Amino acid sequence: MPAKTISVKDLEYRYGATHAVQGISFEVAKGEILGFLGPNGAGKTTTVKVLTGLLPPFKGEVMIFGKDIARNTKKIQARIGVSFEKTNLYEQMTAEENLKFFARLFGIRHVDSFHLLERVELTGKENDRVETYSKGMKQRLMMARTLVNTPDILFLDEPTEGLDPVSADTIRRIILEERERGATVFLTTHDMHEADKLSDRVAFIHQGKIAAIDTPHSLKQAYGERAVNVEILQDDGTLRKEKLILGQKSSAEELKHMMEKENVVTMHSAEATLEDIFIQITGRGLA
Amino acid sequence: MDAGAVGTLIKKDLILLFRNKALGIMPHVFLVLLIVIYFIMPGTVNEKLKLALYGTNIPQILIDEMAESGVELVITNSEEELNRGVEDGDFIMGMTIPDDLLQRISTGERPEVKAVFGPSVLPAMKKAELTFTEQIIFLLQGEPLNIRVEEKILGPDMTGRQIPTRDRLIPIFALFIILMEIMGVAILIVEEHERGTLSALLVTSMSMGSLLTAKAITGIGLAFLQAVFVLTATGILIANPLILLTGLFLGSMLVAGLGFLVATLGRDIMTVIAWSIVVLLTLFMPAFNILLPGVMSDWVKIIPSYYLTDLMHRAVHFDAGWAEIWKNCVLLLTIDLCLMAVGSFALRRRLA
Repeated sequence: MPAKTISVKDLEYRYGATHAVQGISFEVAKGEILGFLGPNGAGKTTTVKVLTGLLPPFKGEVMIFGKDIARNTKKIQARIGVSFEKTNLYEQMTAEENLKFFARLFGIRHVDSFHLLERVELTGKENDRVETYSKGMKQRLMMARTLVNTPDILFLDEPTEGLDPVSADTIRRIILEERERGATVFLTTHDMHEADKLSDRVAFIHQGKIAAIDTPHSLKQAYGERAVNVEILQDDGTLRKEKLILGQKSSAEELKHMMEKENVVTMHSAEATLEDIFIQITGRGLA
Repeated sequence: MDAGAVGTLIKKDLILLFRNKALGIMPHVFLVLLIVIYFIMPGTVNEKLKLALYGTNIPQILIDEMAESGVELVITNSEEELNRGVEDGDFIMGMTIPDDLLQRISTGERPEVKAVFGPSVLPAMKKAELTFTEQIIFLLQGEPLNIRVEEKILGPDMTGRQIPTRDRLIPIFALFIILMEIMGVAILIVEEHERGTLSALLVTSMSMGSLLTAKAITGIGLAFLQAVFVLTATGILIANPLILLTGLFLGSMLVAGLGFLVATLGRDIMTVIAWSIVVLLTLFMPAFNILLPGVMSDWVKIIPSYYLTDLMHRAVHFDAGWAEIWKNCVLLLTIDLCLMAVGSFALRRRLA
């Protein structure tokens, strides 16, 4: 069993009368990407704020690198990188100045800003003020800023939200590269497709509670339907759709018959998407 | 406390300040404007009272004698000219003396002397000016009042060295510059909160204590340096440099605690400006005591800025030494530290 980088036990957080997080527990292993999924207001951002030391005090136990976040906040923060949902860069400074400024706050005197900007495909723009950047460029710069201290954990809050496909792909590539490097990634999103593609495990958070946590594959197996959707071209030129339920005695025969006797145009497994599973578990969608 | 992080944040704030056209350039224009205003204003005080007199046979000896007592008598060519002069504010009052004044007095009649005043004359001044009229008539008769007045000035004798209005304004300018930085500190903090950069700062190794220290140093430094610049450019600083620098520094420290409190109350830049105006107006009240001595009663002493304006007024205009102003220094420092503690506590709670 790999070492647990993040360990959360019975975490609760209240904003006055609002019980934002209601006793959640989970662990994240070193080098793992955990997709933290849920609709707006489910408690995702509050959880991230507690985990990054921005929201003390809280009830429960949060251990990062085996240390209590409430007592070792600054030591832990020195080893993490956080990318926020809302762009929060110094817009009147250049990309390079932003990176150097944040590096200095981590006590890093010489940061290879060129390499970081190269990773997020912003070379050539390093001396432009951030206010001249597009949303995608700003988000990529945020990702570069998250990496200035070579963090052991990345907390990424909706990193690809509203981005163009190129920028989103760049960020996904970096997430995977960081995992390869050995960093743990805590990915908060409500984009199920993205979570499915990137995450080793996903946690569904709903109304401040974790409704399910497992690998995407296991969740699909547990909650999805074992069936195949088939489209058949008929003699009159129309398409006929059929669903073949798998795991029954006659399934193999039926499939063989279809392939030999019918004009099969398409055939897709009917496994559930993470969104379908989320709706199935929580009774509501992610919007 | 991480000194490196504090220095880095101060440097960043200064870079952003000078890149912001409104916040970076306007204060400098304002400082230059204050200095220009200072040099445009008259550097002396006319201590003479100017009275207009119309009448024939006004003896030169009367004019000379009144001049010795600081009253300049101007003889007009007509009653209309006299009235116009008083109305325009050239004279504090005017007197029309009938040609047969002395003759009618000698026959026991009561001749009429016309006295005219400007529209804004105060009742007390009117009474005093009428006394002048009586004195002039006595002098015309050749019978000065047969009394001996013993003159004594309590406090410093400012006869012949009255404080020009422009010099009275200097402590007010310095106070204004310092107080404006309260808004500056509050904006520095609220802007970070509004833009979301505060969270980005607080998830680095930088602590909230370092962050507040950096903002306080930036505000105090800017307030102090700008006030010193104005006092140096106007040549006032050389009057009492050590005491003035101490006073300005202690006064600048007010900026931190009050800036934190305003930032606590402000939700965004607009509310910060609104709260700053309330604080500025309150703290500005003691300054009126310098411009218009005696208009404020003792209650102004509960306003912290009183101890700064009083210190500066006495140091600049009365050459006060440490023996006279040390209490102000101690009180200012105590107030500074208390406000910083309260402001820092409130702001931490607000930003948590």
